[in-house]
Amino acid sequence: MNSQFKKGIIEMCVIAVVAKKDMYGFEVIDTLAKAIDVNENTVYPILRRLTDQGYFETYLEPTTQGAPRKYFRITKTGIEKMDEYRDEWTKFLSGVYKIMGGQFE
Amino acid sequence: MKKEYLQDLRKILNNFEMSKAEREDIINDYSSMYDDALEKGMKEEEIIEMLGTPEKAADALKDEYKHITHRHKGGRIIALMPFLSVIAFFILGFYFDKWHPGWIVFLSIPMTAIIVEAFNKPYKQFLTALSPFIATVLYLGIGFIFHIWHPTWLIFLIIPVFGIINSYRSYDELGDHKDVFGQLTALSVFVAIVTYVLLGTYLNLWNPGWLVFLIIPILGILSEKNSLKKIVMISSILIAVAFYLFVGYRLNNFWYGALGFLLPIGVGILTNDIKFSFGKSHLAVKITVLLAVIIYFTTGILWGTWGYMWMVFLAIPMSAILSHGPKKHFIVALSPFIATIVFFSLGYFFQLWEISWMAFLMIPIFGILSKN
Repeated sequence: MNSQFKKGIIEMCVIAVVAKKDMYGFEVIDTLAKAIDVNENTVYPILRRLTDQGYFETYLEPTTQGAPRKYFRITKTGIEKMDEYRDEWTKFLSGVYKIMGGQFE
Repeated sequence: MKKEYLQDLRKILNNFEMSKAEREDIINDYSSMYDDALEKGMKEEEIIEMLGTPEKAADALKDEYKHITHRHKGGRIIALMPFLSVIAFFILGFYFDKWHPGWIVFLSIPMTAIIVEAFNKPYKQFLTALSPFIATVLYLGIGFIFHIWHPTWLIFLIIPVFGIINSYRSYDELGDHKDVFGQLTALSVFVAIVTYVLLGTYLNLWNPGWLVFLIIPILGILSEKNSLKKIVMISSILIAVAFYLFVGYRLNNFWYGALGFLLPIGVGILTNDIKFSFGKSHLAVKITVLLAVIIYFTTGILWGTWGYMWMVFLAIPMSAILSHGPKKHFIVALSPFIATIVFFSLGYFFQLWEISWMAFLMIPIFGILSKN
């Protein structure tokens, strides 16, 4: 698979998992790694960039042991971006299925 | 392992264009991801596989996070230097008939690279990066002008000295406990070498000049928390030194005097600081220590080889590296010791001090080859 294409998909997945619930860095990597074949060390830079672009915001949550944990929370711009991604992805997949002869729901 | 991981990451990120706050934020993020993974029961190797090696992690940041860029100024000057050197060399040769020492202009090629690299380093590493340049200039200057190649070579010891000072600063930045005595112990190795060589060269005091090396365990003992233990251990060393000197000079037999060192060895065994066990893991190192001591004193007493045979003690750290060091890079780890042996042997036996210093070049060469 084209690496740029894959990167785009991972970015979309990162936004989608954080949209479901606020997560800390390791949790995002772990969740993605369980679901899809992903180069785990590329996730944190994506997470950081998305925060820099305003799709996520961060806050600190105290932990029982050690330093407080940094959580990522999706912003309004992030939700808009996710919707945009979802539309594009749905259109793209239905097109692919049409060509391949399958069914996309 | 986490400490080394973060330290390496910090070192690499120092070469990137980003604010200090941003760098600290990234380091903190990696630190907590590392902790979270440990908490989840992952092994350290698995964590590094997941987060990527420090090089990979930094590379991914650079690729993904566009405003972070690798900074490298002065590349053009480095590229131009070989051409400028050739031009200068021919002008000096053809017009002034100064082929020698005109060849020295070629040294400006690595020197420029070193200086440019030094300016690319953060302020605190500036002196470390510049130390090879300072040492080489002083060594060649004093060597060519005054023909004092030996013991001017000792100036090269400023390179590891600056390195140690700088590494302790880095540990401090990572929030680790700053071990002042640990730093002094590491630095004392070089102070001892300089003092020993100067005593031997100018006053022919190879023996008992070697006693200066005892400053290393003494400083190591100073970091001991138990005051009574500290006093007893240091006193035992000082008594042993006094006994060694007294018997050595009075009876003209340093061999009997050396028996005095049984006292600090005995104290060390009683305080559990010197342990004799026959576990396989440390056996090679222990045998090496024993053999080194036997060889050093036997050859010293029989043939008076105190000035040369001190190098047998280099076998101790070498055997430790071979037994416990990372197998992948053991040649790089051994190269400083091999270089020292080649350097000192050529200088001591053939008086080739002005050439033999080049043995130290094998350290960066092995480093580069191993990296590739």
